[in-house]
Amino acid sequence: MISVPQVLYITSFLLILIGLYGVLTQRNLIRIVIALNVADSGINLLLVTLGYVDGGRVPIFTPGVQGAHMVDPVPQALVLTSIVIGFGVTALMLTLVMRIFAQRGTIDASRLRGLKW
Amino acid sequence: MVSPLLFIIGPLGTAFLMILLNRRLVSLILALAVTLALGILALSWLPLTLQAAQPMVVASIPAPLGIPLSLDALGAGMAIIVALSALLVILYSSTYLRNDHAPVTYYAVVMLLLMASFGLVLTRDLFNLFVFFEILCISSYILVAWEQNSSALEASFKYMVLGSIGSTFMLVAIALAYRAAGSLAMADIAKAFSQANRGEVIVAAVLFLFGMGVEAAIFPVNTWLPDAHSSAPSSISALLSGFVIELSLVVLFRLGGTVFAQIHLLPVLQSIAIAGILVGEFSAFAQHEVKRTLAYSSIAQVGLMLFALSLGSPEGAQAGLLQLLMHAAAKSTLFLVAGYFILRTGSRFMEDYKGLGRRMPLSGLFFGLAALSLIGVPPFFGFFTKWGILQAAVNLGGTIAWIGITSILLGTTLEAIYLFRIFQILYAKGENDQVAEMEWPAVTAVALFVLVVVFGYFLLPVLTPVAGAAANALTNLF
Amino acid sequence: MNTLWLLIVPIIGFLGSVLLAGSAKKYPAVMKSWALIVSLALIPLSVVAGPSIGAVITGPVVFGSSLLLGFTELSWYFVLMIVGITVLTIFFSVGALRSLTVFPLYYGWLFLKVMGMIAVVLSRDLLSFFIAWEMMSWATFFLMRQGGEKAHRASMGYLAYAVVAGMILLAGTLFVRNTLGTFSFTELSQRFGGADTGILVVALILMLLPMLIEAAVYPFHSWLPDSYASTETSITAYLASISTRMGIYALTVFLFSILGLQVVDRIGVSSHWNLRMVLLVLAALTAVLPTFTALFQHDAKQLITWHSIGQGGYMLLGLASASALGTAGGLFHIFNYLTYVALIIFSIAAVEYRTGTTNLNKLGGLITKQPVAFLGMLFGIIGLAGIPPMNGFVSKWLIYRSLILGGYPFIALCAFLATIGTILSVYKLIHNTFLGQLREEYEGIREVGFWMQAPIWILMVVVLVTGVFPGLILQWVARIQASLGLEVLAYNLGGVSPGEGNLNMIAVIILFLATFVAAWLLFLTGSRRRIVSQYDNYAGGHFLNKNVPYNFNYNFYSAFDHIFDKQYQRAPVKKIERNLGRFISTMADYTRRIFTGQINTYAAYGLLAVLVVLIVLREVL
Repeated sequence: MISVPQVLYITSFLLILIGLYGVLTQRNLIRIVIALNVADSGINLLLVTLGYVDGGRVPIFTPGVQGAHMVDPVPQALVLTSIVIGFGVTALMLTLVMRIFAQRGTIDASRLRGLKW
Repeated sequence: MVSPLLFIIGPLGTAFLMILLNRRLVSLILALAVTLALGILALSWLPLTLQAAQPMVVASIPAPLGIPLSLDALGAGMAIIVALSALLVILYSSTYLRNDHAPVTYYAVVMLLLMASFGLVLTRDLFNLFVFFEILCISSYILVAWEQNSSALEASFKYMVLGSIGSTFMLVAIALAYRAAGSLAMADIAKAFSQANRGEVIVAAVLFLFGMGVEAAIFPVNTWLPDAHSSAPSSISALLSGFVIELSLVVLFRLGGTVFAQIHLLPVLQSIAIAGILVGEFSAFAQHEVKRTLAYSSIAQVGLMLFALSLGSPEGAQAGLLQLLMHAAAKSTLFLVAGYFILRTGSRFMEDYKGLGRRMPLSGLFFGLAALSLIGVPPFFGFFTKWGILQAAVNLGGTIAWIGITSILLGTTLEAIYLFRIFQILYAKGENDQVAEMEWPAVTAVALFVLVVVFGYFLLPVLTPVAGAAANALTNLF
Repeated sequence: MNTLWLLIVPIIGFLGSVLLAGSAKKYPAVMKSWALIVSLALIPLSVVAGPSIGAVITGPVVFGSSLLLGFTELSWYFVLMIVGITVLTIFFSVGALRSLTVFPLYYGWLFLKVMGMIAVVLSRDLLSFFIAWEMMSWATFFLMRQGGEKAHRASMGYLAYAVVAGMILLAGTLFVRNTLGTFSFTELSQRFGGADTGILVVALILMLLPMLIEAAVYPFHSWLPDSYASTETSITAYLASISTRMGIYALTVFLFSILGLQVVDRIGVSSHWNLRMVLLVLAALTAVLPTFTALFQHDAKQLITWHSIGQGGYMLLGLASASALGTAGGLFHIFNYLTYVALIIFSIAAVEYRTGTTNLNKLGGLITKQPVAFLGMLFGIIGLAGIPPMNGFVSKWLIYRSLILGGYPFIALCAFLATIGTILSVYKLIHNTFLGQLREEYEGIREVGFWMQAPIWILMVVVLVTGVFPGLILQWVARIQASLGLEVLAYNLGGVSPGEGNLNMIAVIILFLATFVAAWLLFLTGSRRRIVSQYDNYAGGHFLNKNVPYNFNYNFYSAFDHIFDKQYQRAPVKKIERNLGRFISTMADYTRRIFTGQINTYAAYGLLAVLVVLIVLREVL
C-alpha cells in the first residue's frame, strides 16, 4: 500500500518540478512568479511531510496530556519561516512586475532583454 | 567582553530606529556609528577567536536546544571586512546619494544587509543560515532595484527569479540534510553525512552548491550578476561585489565542509571555477560600459577565489581569503570611482570618459592603483595574493590545477588589457572643461580602500595568521 | 649597503617627481633640477658599488623565500650603462622638453624604470627577478605613454606583449620552483645540472620566451617600432639604448650563469643542431629582416627603431655562438650600441627640436645649420655600420670572426647581409636629414643649446675613444666572461691579442689618421674653394628655383619599394598579431553571449548545472 507520506512526497516533488518547469518555459512574468510560488508550496509540503511521525499528535504541550507521541516541530517551524519568506519575496516580485509594466508596457520575458551580454 | 550578539541586534535595531525617526542626517550618522562600532567589536574579538571559536548563548537557552551561534577566526575576519567596507561605502553614499528619493530607507536596508551578513558568519545551523541568507538576498534585491529605472527593475527581477530558484534548491537540500541528521546544526549534519548513503550526500551537496552558488556568483548561475551590479547604484555595486558574493562563497564552503569532503566534489568545483574565470574575463573584454566590465571582472575574481578555496589545502584557502580582502578593497575602489565618473559625465560608456582622468586627478589615480592591484602587479597587494593562489595550485599539482593556472594567467592578461584600455581613455586628450572631483567624504572612503590595496604587503604579517586560522576552519574537514 | 642605495635613490627620485608634479607646469625648472640632482647622485653610487661584487643581501621574506639581491660583474656593467644613459637622457631632455605641461610625470616614470632595471640586474633569485621584471615592464609602459595619442595607442601594443611575457615568466618561475625546489640562482645552477632533459626543455621554453619577447627577437619584435617611435624622442633614445637590452641581460644570466654552458649544450638533437643553433637562427632572422624593413621607413624614428631590433639580433648572435670572441663581441656590442643609438636619436631629437619634424621626406641639407647634430649622427652611423675607427667595428669584427671560426657560415652570411642593410638604412637617415638641398623653411635654424649638445659631444668622444682603445671596455667584458664561466677573450688596450685573431685598433687609427692627414694635405694644395649659394646653379635647362626640391631625397630607396613590395611588405608577423587580436575579440564576443538576457534561459542554466554535476558525480563515483 502506498502510504500517505509517500503520496505527499511524490506530490511535493511534482509541485517543485511543475514550478521549475514554469520558470523555464513561461514568458509572462506573472506566470513566472506563480510558478515560483508553486515550487515554494511543493517545498513546504516536502518539509512538513518530513516531520511526520506515524500517528503523531500536534506538537503543542497541552495540559493533561503527558509525554504524547508528537510530530516533529522543527520542520514546521522551518516551513512557517519559508512561507513568510515566500510571501515577502512574492510581494516584492509582483511590485517589480507592476513597475516594469508601468515603464515598459510589457511583461513578456522575451521582450525584456534590454540588459544582455 | 561585549557580546557578539550585537552584530545581529545592532544593525536590526538601528534599521528600525532609522525608519522611526525618518531623518536623513540622523540615519547617516547612526549608520556610520553602528558600522564603526561593529568593526571595533570584531577587532576586539579577533585575538580570542584566533585561539578558539567562541560560542554564544542566545536568550539563555543552552545548546542543543538553543540557537547555535559561534564566532571563530573566519567569522571575526569576515566581520571586520564587512563592517569596514560598509563604513566606507556609507561614507561615500553620504554625498553620492545626496539627491536620493528615499535616503532613510536606503540606510535602513543597508543595515539589514549588514545584519544578514553578520548573521551568516555567526550561524552554525541551517535554519539560521537560511533565514539570514534570505534576508541578505531580499535586501540586495531591494538595493539593486533602487534607482527604479528600466534596467534596474529588469536586473532586480532576474536576480529575484534566480535567487528564488536558488532558495528552492537550498530548501530541498536542507530537507535532505534534516532527514539524514535529525537536527539542523551543522556539526550534527557533518557527522550524519559522513555515515549516510552516498547518493543522498551527493544530491544534498550539489543542491547546496547551486543553491548558495546563485548568491555566490559561481558559473553558470551567475547570469544575474552583470545586470545587477551594473544597474545598482555604485555604492551598492561596491558592497555587493565587495563582500556579499564573497561572503556567500565563504559560507558555502563552511557549509560544504560538512559534505564536500566525503564526495569528490573538489575537482568539479575547480572546473566550475576555471569556467567562471574564463567566461568572466572574456566577457569583460568585450564590454563598452565601465560598470558592466567591472561586474564581469567580479565573476572572474569569484572564480579565482573559488579555485583557491577548492584546492583543498590550507594554504590555498589562506591565499583565497587574502584574495577576498584584496578584491573587496580593489573592486570597491573601482566601482566607487566609476560611480563618480557616471555622475559627472552622465554616461555609462567608456568612450565618453576621454580625458576624465586629467580633470579628476584623484579618481584617475585611484582607478589606476586599484587596477594595478587587481591585475596583480608587484609591489601591490594583489600580486601577493595571486601568487599565493598560484603557488598553492602548483603544490597541489595535477591536470586541473595546471589548467587552472593557465586560465588564471590568461585571465590576468585579458584583465590588464581591458582595465588599461579604460585607463588610456581616462588620460587621453579630451575636452578641457572643468569637472568637479569627488567630494571629500567619497575621496576619504576610496583613499582608505586604496591604502589597503597599495600597502597590503605590509599588512601581511598581521593578516597571515588570521587567514591561516580562518583557512583551518574551512579545510579541517577536508 | 651600496647596492641598496642604487635602488633607494631612484625611488626617491620617483617620489620627488610625484610631489613636484603639481608645480611642474608653472615651474618646470624645479622638476628638471630635481631630476638632474638625482641622476647625478646615481653616478658616484654606481661607481662605488664595484667592490661589492659577490656580496649577497637577503631581502624580505615573501612566501617563505627570502629575496636575494647581489652584485655580479655583469650587474655592474649594466648598472653603469643604465646610470650613464639615464644621466645623458636627463641632460638632453632638460633642453629638449620645452615645457612639462603635457608630461608632468616624465622624470617620475623615468626613475621608476631605472629602479626596475637596476632591481632586475641585482636579482639573485627568481622571485625577486620576477617582481623586478614586472615592475620594470609596467614602468616602461607608463614611460612610453609620454607622447600624445599615438603613444597611448602604441603603448597598449607593448603592454599586451609585456603582460603575456610576464605571465609566461610567472609560469616558468612556478614550474622551476615546483620541479627544482628553489628560487635562488646559485642553487638552481647546481640543480639544473642534474635535472632531466624534459624538465630542462619546459623550463627553458617558459623562461626564455619572455626574455626573447623583451629583447624583441624575431618573431616577437613587432611591438617595438610603433611603441618606441611614438613616444617623445628623448625617451625613444633611452628605450632603444637600454630597455630592450634587459632581455639580453636576462638571457645571458639564464643561459650562462644559471644553466651553464654544459647544460645548454646538452639540449638538442646533436652537437650542432642544439639550442644555441635555434638561438642563432632566430638572431640571424632578427638581424636581417627588421633591418631591411627599416629601409622603407619615412620617419626617422621609425627607421632607427626598426634598426634597433636588428642590432639586438647581433648581440644575440654573439652570445649564442658561445666562444670567447663571440660572447665578448655580444657583450661589447651592448655597450657600443647604447652609445651610438643614443647618439643618433639625440641628433634626430635635436633636428626635431629645431625643425619640428622627423619626416625624412621633409628634411634636408641641415649640415650647415646644425653641424653638431650632423657630427653626432655621423659618428653614430659610422659606429652602427661597423666602420673603423668607431667602437662598432670592434664588436662586429668579433662577432663575425666568432661565427666564421665557429663553423656557422650561413649565419655569418646573414650577419653580413644585415650590415649591408644597416649601412643602406642609416645612409638614408643621414642623407635625408643633413645632406642635399636645404629647404627654404629651414634657413633660419640654429644649432641646439648646451643641454642638448653636451650629451652628443660626450657620446661622440666615448664612441671614438672606445673605438680606438677597445681594451678599456674589453677588460670589463673579460671579467664578465670569467665570472660566467665562459672562455675569456685575450685583449689588450688596442684590441684583441694575437693568437685569437688579430685586431689592433691603435694601428688602425694611426693608419686612418695618416691617410686623413695625407688627404687633407692634398686638399690644401688644391686651388681655393669658392663657396656659393646652393641655388647658384644650373640644371635641366633652368636656373634653380627655391621652391623645387632638386636632390634625390624624397622617397629614398623607392627602387627597393618596387623590388620588395609584394613579398616583403606583407609583414607576416604583423598579420599574425592582428589575427590573434581579432580572434580574442571574437572569442570575447561569443563568450559574452552566454548572458542572453532572457530569464528563462538563465533558469535553464541553473537546472542544467545541477543535472550535469549530478551525472558527473554519479559516474565518477
